[in-house]
Amino acid sequence: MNINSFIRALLIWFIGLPISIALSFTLRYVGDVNSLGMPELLWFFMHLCIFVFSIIKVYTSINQMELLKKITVILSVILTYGAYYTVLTWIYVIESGIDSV
Amino acid sequence: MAVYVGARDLSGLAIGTHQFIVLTYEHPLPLQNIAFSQVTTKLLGGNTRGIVIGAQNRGNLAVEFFEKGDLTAAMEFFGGIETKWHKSDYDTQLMEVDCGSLPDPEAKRRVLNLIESYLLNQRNDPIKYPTAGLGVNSNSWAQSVIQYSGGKVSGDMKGFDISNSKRVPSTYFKAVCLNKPRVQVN
Repeated sequence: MNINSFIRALLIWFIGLPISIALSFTLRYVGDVNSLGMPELLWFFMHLCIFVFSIIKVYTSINQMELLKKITVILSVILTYGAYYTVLTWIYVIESGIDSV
Repeated sequence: MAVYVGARDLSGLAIGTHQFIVLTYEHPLPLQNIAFSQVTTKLLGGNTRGIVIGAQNRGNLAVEFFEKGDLTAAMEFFGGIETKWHKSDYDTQLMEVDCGSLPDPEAKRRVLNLIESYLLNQRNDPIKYPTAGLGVNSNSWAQSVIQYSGGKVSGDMKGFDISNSKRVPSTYFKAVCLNKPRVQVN
């Protein structure tokens, strides 16, 4: 396992997602503050791209591991990413008044 | 024509449900003064016209007529907007409220009266929107209006509609000055 590559791969997601939110936050002030600032499909597509890119990088950084360990790491990373994504986007969308539960 | 509670997806979120209220009419209504707003029906699709009302996070639990997301969701349901597989939509669910033996116009009048009182009371004594929506929120608001109007509908609609069993204190829907402080929420 290449630790540096692994950490860099994680940072793609953990920093990439807040950057995408900052982009949306900025764009909202161009149009409607109670919207995402961009089409919803673009919003989700952007996150999907960051996710896929990060997961590919994670996979290549653990390429030397045996299969079972590799699967465990990937699944743990996906679960962590999912929790991080849910919390961050929930707080952003609800707290900034884009939409309300 | 009827009273509905609607549930729709949230913009920009993969989870979560927002509830709102739709009152439908066959014919356009004349402009009505409801608290600080002048409201009339909008065409939702086909021959159905309606008034769409929901609570939103505007710092406070603010009630808005025809909020963009609520209106679009209602129009998707009634066919005023066509949904396509390659475009995001609100996946709207609308459930008709059981008003019992109450005539339809009377049921709608009750709902609008409650909303008018809420709007007036909010001006003097606003309910803060709960942090991250975890408290008395728009789902609680929609269900409270229906309950206080005497209607019956399932509170648990599609998706993750948190706080649908919580209620806004009934004093916020009363058109009287209170002699005791209100029960505070959020």
